[in-house]
Amino acid sequence: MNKVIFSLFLLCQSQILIAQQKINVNFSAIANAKKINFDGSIFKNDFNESYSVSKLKFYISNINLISLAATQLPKKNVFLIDAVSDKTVQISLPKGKIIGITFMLGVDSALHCSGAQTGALDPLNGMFWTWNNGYINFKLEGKFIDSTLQNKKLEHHIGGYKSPFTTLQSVTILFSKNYTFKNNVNIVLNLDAYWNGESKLYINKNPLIGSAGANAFEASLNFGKMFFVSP
Amino acid sequence: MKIKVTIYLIGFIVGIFCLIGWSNNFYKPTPIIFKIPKGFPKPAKNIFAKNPLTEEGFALGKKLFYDAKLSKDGQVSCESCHQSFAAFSTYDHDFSHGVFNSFTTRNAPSLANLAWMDNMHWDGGINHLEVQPLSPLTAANEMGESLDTVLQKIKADTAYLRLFKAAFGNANITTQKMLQAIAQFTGSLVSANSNYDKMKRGEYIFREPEKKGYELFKTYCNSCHTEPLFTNNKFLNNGITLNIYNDVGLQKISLKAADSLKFKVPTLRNVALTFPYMHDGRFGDVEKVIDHYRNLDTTLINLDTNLRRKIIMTEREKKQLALFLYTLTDTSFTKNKRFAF
Repeated sequence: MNKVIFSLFLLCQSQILIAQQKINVNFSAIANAKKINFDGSIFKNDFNESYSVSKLKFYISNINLISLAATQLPKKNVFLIDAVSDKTVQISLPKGKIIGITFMLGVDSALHCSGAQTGALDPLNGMFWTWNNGYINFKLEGKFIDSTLQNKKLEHHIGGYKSPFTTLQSVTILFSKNYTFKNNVNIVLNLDAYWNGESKLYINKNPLIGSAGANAFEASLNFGKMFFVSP
Repeated sequence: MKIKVTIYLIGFIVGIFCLIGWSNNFYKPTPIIFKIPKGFPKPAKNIFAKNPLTEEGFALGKKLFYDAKLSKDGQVSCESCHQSFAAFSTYDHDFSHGVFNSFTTRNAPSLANLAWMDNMHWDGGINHLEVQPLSPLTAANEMGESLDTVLQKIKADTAYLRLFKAAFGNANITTQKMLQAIAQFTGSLVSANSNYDKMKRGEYIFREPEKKGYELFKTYCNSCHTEPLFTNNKFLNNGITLNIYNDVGLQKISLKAADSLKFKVPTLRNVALTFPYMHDGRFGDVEKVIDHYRNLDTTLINLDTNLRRKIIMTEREKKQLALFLYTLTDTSFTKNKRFAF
């Protein structure tokens, strides 16, 4: 009898082990169909505005795979992606037929006001506003070449977790039919789609966004459509 | 046979000694039980829930609080603007000082009973006690240092290595641990032993003018400066005018026009020591503040509804109200050696 229970126990254990899979999610960034190399290369947005990129950092949280299985547990996780170094994050998820991937761009609102954090959320990462608390969900810095200002600064610090200017946005990418999923997903951020999406972000109009509010919110509306999966 | 037993015995004794030696190195901080004073409400959230209060954590937080080395010019500590003898406010200064003889644009508030507060700063920009120090540490006109350098300075000091190890079990110095230690100190600053508190506990009898002042307080002030914390922790417009810095208060944080000139209702505990008053220290004494409310234009837009009613108060009553407010001074708090440097 005891032996039966023991083997049942083992069986359950192995079931749990089988049901999990380790997924590597790689992040990289492009503009004008070229990889952003942080070497001062000049890119153009759809409005013919020239700019360069020196910094591109953003938070990705609650990565989850979309499975045909009926229930998928929401996965709580948060990663700081620095596009300077292509970043791979590893997550464990229940197995099933995978048809797509979903994640949030930004930090879960509850984590914005839960006191001192560490790891990806350490304020040392320069992604935390100290005077009006909250995380910068997306940080883009560089030069606006056409700027009339002497320093030609381009600085988009997009954050804000309070209504109505919440900048946390969900991203859902469904794999195309001919995409074969092999436990390795390459996610590419296309900066062209950041400028030209639901909102038209003319750099000339707002080269500097440095706080939560209407401008940051407007920019965040483009987060949802700027990622794609590359084979 | 006998030899074998002896060897076992010796082995056993050596083992015990090793165990004692090992356990002495084991991390065992002394817990502190955070006491809620009699008559005080339970804090809305337990700020020590994820940051267990210990003697070692408190001691580390205290050292950090009083350490000017953390600032860019080595001259400014938390205590520079939050002085213990002034109930942890800046004594007799309208604007608090920062590094390299700079000035801030605000009057540093008193630090008392922070465990009962949710949003901090005059404009509510701080959403948790633990993250508050990031603002003064890094602001150019306060301590002016980068967070990275602050941590480097701490890591280079062996005294801190010992204190972090005692407080958290290892010398792994992180932003989080530093901030949690400071919060253990600041969150422990409880003031609840003024003559007012003693009167409530039956240990002190109000003099006649204090008693009359208390009645006036309950009529005109208590709806915002609510007992026993003497603040309702809200952000309200009390009719003060815009200052030269165009400081709009809560509006800057919430971005709502209706929040223009709303500031945190400060606690009135130890009010006799926290002068000058308001977010910019514009009123030099308590009577000038009372005059502000007596002479207030009650038709101002955005003015808090509690102030719509005209305050009719004689000069004599004004003095009585002030005398009541002076009963909120808690010298066992301002002179507490556990809190002072």
